[in-house]
Amino acid sequence: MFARKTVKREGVHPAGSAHSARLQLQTLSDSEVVQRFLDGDERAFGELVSRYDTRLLNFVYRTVGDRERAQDLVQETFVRVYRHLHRFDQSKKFSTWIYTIAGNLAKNELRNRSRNPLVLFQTIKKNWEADHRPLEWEDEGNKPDDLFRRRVLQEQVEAAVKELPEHHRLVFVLRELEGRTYEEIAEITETNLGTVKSRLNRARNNFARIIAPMVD
Amino acid sequence: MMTCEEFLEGYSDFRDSEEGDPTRVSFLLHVERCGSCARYDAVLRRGVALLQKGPELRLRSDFQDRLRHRIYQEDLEALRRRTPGASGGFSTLGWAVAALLGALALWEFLAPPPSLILPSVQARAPLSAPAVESRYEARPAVGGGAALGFFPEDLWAPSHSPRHDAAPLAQRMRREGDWIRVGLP
Repeated sequence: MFARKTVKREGVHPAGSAHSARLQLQTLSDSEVVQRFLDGDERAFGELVSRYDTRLLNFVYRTVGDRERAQDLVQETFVRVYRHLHRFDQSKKFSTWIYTIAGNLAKNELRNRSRNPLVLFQTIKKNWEADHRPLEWEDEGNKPDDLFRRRVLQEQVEAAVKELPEHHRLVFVLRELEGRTYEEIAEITETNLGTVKSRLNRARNNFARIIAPMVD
Repeated sequence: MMTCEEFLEGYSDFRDSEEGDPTRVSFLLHVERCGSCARYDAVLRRGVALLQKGPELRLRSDFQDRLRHRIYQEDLEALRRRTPGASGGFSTLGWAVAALLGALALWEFLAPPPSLILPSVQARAPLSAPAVESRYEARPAVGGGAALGFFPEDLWAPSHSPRHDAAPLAQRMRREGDWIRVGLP
């Protein structure tokens, strides 16, 4: 598994050598870590997991809007990476490749969900909370503090992202939250640059229209 | 002069452009003059900033363990697939076991049933006296012997009384030759 083998046994203490090997892996670029894994160092896969797990989780969560499902999809992403890493074109960026896998899984999830619509418990809970929220705001003398207000605003803005159409949302999240370039987004979403630009522009317009009453 | 429509259409170019990009100038000029587009720009920037400052989701504590287990299963499955004869249907060993079981079942079916030798049982001698008392004397009717000549003389014995009681009505006869009914006085 991830840490089953070591590249070289250096030093006397095996735990020490494992630690130093891990530290060494941390200094390598993605493509070097990938190469290490392909050379038989399975610890390198653990390094890739620790580099991307949280980033992918947030990316997938913002796309599918369900925490538990996002965790499952991130796991599936890594399983596919593990299974198909030997097929990865190393002239490309690893991060783009892994985001493509995660993005495709997220898209499939949304597609399946639209075919078999089911109401998620989180959605019910959120709506229930939303139904009760105005009561908290009615009393002007008992207004929540800034921290609470900010948290509510945060939730509303996140909800606005979920309201975007699937293909707009993916592009929007990749650009605004993941900081991907247009070229990378085109590769991840398997579209051309023109499509990315127009989708991103529409996503931004929609997002601004939704959140304007909240943040203005 | 840039119109609001042009501003919105090309907004992404403005937002994603570098600081020194000459295309920014016309956008910046429009923002300064148009309150509506300035508001749009401000709302979007604030919204994105809020999103970026949002709490980062954390993975489950057992995420890596689950992933490790899943990959272990994947490895195992791949190994099974690589093993010759293990993929798709029975392996050679599987066929051998199936054939052996089949032969055993056939043997069971064709073999003669086993002969059992049971232990001997001691039986008691039959009772000479009738087990149940009868209200009737059991002997041939007077003259009945002639009428029923085919009955031997020793046909009627006291031990036959219960049999007489249980016999069909038509075969009963008292000494005088009257018919009686079973169970009636």
